[in-house]
Amino acid sequence: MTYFKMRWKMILLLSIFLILIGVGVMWYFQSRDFVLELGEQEEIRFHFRLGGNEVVGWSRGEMIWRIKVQSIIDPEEGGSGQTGEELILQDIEEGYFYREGEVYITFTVDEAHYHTPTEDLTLFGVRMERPGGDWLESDKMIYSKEQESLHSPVKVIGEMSDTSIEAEEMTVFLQTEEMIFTGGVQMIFELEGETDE
Amino acid sequence: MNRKIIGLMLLLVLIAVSATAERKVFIDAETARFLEDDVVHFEDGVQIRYEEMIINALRGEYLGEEEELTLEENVVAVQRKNQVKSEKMWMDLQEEYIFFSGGRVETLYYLRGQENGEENGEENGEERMVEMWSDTLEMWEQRGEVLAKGSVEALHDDMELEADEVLIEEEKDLLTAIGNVYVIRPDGSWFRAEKAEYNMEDGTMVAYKMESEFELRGSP
Repeated sequence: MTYFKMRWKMILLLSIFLILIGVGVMWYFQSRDFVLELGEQEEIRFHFRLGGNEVVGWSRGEMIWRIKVQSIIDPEEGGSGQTGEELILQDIEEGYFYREGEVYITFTVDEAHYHTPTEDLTLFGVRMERPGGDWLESDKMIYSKEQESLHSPVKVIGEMSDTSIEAEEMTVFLQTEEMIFTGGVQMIFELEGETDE
Repeated sequence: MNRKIIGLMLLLVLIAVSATAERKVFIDAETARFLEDDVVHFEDGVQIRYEEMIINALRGEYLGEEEELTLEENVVAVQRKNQVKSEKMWMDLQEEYIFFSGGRVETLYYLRGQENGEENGEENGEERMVEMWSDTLEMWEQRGEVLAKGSVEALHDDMELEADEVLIEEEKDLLTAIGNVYVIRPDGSWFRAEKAEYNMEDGTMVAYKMESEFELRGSP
């Protein structure tokens, strides 16, 4: 009799233990944030993966950009193409462009569109900043994965190294850091020292 | 009383602030390329504005660290009424030194008036200017000096001048021609010399190691 009681107790304790582990595992997976990762991460090929409130763009095994976002919309029908070809990212907190694993540019943006076939990213109402205080603003800026460039087809204004600049268009090649401004370019360079008037 | 003192102090601060201004270079162009190391290339419809100077050219380069500016092709620099045309121009913005070169440098230089703060040499309605052609031209903005070098040809007050070098010193109102100097005066007389100093204020000239030919008028 005592033997059977002991056995039931053991089974009961083991069941409770297994149930607790099961509940813990379920809670862990349910509480994880979503992360949407796009492109190729090292050797693994995938379109996107959900995991935390972030959208991450990769190229050749390196993280290129990352956006902290609250809403990801896949429009059923849009002018941009077939369903699923363009994702609309809204309520964006902040975004980053990376270079060799380090944050190269920080940006705020009103809305971003991710084009899945090309993996290009279009930023609307964007302000980009660099650690030294340089900044650029544009109503539209397109990140091209193929060219590894940022292109603003509309007016852009900004300040870089004591230089204020305004132009009708701009292209930045991220690898070389070369910046090309075109169309009615106006630059003001501040020189060191002062002059008597 | 205190208000008056505070007001006076504020006025002094305003005067001190307005007496100095930030130095800025304004560059307009159709295309600008920002490269690493603070280098900017610009081209097409280039216009530079720096203090009283406006420079137009086809293309140029600005070195931010060194504060140096290089302009090329159809360079036209205008300051007040002075004008220089050349194929290339290099400017050190810290030293306010300019070097023009390439082809023949054409210079139209208006002399500043020495009295009553008159600008551009406008005295009694007359403008005093020197027109020059040379291989190179150097300008020291702060010193008010201009040095033309290389087969210099100059016109001033109907006087024609040729020399290896011509130096204009505005503060001294002096034009100095050096090396193989050849001067033709309005009356047709001429002289050669190794060096000639022309006082642009009173029109007198001193020539060194001179050889001349002139017509004596009113002789018996």
